[in-house]
Amino acid sequence: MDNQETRNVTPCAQTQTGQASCSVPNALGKQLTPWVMLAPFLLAFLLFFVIPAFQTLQLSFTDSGLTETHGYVGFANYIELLQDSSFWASLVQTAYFALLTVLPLTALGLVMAMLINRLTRFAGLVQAIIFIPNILPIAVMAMIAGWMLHPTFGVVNLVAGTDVAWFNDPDFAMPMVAIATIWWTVGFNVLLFLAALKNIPQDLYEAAKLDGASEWGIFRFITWRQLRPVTVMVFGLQLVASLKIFGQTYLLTGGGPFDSTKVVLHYMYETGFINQNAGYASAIAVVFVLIVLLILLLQSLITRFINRRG
Amino acid sequence: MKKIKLLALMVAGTLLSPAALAQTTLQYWTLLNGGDGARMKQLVDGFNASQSDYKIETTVLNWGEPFYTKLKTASAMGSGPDMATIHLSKISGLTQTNGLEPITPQAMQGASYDSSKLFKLLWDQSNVDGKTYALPIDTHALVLYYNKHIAAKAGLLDEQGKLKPITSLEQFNAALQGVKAKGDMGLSMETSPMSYMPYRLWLSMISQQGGKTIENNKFVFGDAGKKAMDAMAGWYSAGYATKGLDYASSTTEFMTGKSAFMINGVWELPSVTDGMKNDKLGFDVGIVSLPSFFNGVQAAWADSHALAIPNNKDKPISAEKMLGVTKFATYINQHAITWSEGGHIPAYEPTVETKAFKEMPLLSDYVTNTASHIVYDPDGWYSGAAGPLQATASKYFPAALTGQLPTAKALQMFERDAGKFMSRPAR
Repeated sequence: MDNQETRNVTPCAQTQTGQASCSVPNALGKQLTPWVMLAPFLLAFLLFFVIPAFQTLQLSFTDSGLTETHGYVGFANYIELLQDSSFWASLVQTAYFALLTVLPLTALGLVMAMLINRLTRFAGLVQAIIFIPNILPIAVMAMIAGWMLHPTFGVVNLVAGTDVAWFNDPDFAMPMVAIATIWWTVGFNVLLFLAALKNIPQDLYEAAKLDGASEWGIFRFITWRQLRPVTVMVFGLQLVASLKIFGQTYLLTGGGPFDSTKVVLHYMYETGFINQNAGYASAIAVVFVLIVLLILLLQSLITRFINRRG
Repeated sequence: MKKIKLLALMVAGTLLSPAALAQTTLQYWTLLNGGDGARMKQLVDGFNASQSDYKIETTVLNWGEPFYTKLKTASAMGSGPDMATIHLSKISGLTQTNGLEPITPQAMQGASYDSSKLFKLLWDQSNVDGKTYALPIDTHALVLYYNKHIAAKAGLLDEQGKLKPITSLEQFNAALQGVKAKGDMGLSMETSPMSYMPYRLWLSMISQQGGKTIENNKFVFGDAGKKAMDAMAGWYSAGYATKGLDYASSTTEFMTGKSAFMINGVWELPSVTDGMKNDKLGFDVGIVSLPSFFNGVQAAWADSHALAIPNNKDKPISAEKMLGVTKFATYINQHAITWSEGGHIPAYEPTVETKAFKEMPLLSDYVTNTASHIVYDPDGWYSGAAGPLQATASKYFPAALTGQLPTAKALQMFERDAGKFMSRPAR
């Protein structure tokens, strides 16, 4: 209590009429203002996120259709989920997609940022060109990718001389979705890495060069070490984004062929809105959130371990 | 001067407002886009202009699954429209969940709506448990398009230049083989992932064999289903049709004169007639009812558009508005010729007897025959246009046709996936 008062107290101000206006209302005012400013957002957050999230949790314990909530069935949905081979398959598909995109997107972002950093002319232009795909809405990106990879009319098949139906082939469908996603989003990572690169003090490099360090040494001990926090952040963001995908597979392959690109969120959407089983879909949502939280926890533990190791 | 202007405005307002108040607005949701959307707009505008009691306000939504979800969730909240275009294949599901309001005989009488003049199969489908839930507008069925030039080369046309009747699978296969021998592709049909045509043809073939697809929410297609799948897969493995084309590519294959036959819905008729009229096609096209592949029995998958009144929670439709709906349905029947320009078979039978209809190119070749042999999607809440059953079929059936999956396995996977939701009650 004492600490708080000393922190927030301002000396009693003398007003025009000579009366002292003291610190207590002022302290309250200072505490109140940020809350008042945040209130609209917090209200929206409560109404559109927190409350529906709890309702989803509630729904997952019922046997509900799309528009009516029916009776409680306890953990029946979760038990069914654990034995649902389609759910586990969709988890594997999601993991496969994450594998194909998280590391490449982080690494490519870093490499491209480093290359752009070395450009003396047209750096801005190259940066813009790499970033432009990122501003496309997902439906536009899917249209472009779909047309380029079309088996009969697509430019990829024209140039390569093949007639593979890329999105219809179980071996190529997911890699193609991954490539389209990488093309679409790498620009954002490049931006983050470039900003971080520009923040590395130049004298570190000059000192290293004076000491005769090799290119690899410079990278390993200066660039990489300075960039590590950003890289970890980019990796984490990318991981969550890749686990959460829905639009790319929904638009490009519809989950096919034979569900080989059906990721968890697509399976959840299908269960809820097409098969009209909202209770089961809610269970999928809850389990998925827990899995993502677990993965993030794992990632932060590993990061802390690496950082401690130096 | 100002006061007089104000007075004049007030008088005008009071004179006009009773007229405005007397007009009832009907909110109308439709999923008809493209050419169909334009024709429906024509009908709506015509109806609004022909009388002053009702005014229809249309909202056009996308075709597909989201339309029915929107309709369902909106009416569950009481904020659905007064009337909506639905597919008759969805009617069993919609009525099982109390999604539609029955249309009263009084409303139909008040609008002089004559249900006896509709094609019988459509009217039967619109009634559930003795109550009318929809007023049919049309039927759109699977038909066989043929390229007269290529067909003539293979000796398949008669003296009048029309296709000689094909009444068995063997005859059809022989025709395809004949076309292939002359260097052309036999058949164009979509078989890309998420194609619907294989499922629709499969339903038709099962019906032709006298079988049923679903009974009591269980699959009963048995051997008939297997034979149908094998028949279709045979065309692709023999090279009579190009594997893996999507809807646009397969239709283009036929429209650019590369294949003899196309199995597609009647909705491609406008592009065919336009192409022939403007000499853009380069060859003449004919249309016949879907051939009988089994037992000489004719049956073609079809669906129908219909007007229906959604059941808005706590806001039942007024008798006056329901009369407006039936009046609009009567208007559509009387102007069904406009709707037929889209290739649809009008629900109102007298239309096909009119001179104007008979003069429309190609339609009369297949309309009456097809309308008497249509087969709808099986009953069930999961069935119907853009429902989960169609979606599951479109996952595996194209793969069976292109040889990616053995036909038996495709049917097995289809049964397994569909069984998951078929066993659940209507929600």
